[in-house]
Amino acid sequence: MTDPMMPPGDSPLDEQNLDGHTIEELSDYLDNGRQPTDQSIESSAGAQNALAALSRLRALAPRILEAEAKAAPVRDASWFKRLLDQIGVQAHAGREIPIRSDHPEAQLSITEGAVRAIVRAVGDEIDGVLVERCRLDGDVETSGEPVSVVIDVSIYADAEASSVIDELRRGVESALSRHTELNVSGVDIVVRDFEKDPEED
Amino acid sequence: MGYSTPDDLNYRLTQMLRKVPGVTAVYATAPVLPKVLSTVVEVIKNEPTAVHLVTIRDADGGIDIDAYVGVSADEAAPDVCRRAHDAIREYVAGNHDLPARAVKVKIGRVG
Repeated sequence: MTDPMMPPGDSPLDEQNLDGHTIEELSDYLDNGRQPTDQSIESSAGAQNALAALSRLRALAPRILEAEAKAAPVRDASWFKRLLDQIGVQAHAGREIPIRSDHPEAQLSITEGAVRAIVRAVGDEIDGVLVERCRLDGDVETSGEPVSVVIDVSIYADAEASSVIDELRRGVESALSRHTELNVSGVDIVVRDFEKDPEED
Repeated sequence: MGYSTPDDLNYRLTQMLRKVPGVTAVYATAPVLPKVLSTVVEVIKNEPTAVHLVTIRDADGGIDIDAYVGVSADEAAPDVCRRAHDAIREYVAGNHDLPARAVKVKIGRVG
């Protein structure tokens, strides 16, 4: 940007001070380590001043950028993830499953979506099984009512199905007992498919 | 869905809930999706924390409060839920001129 207070011709980088050379030409000359020697540049005081100014600029530029980067506020990219998280939690909330409280005016609950996510997380921890769908059958919104958990899974072809299913059932019963107050009457696991383990590819 | 300032009880309750042991997130109690397009510019400027997450309504001689949280899987979710509920009541009792009436705490995510 031109400084309006500076009279024309005062900058060593003004074209009129370069003895017929251009900034681009001088910049390329500098890039090449002033090789091969160009006598018209080396013998020109104006070109020499411009080369010196360009050298100073190149030396300073990284420090200026670094200083600006340090001074700039840190941008928090996680806000977008949090926004998607907010939308995801609301979109999959489902029914509200009550949690007991001694306080008469407390209304505590865990969403059906959170419970399904707990079931999926149990499956994620077990090798050889993929939880595809999870359904809570029963009146989950009334404390004490029996609720059946129905889980559709795929078993990887090289996994021992009965062992994997037992482990999943035990894991789900344990997790739901710990994180909910559901009266789980049963965990029904339906094997929909036998698949090749994608990690083998 | 309004916007909070550091002086708002909504904002202070949100900040307080984030410090309750076991609480990992505070979600918006009002639907976010319908508001996203109209508020995206403000969200970019202010981050979603500037949006009301905790809902407060006038009640009979007091206030009703709704909070929606994520909790850690390291301890039983109902325990964390009750702890968050108690923390809300305690905070309002000590920092607001009206008492908390109905306090609703909903868990939207575990772990």
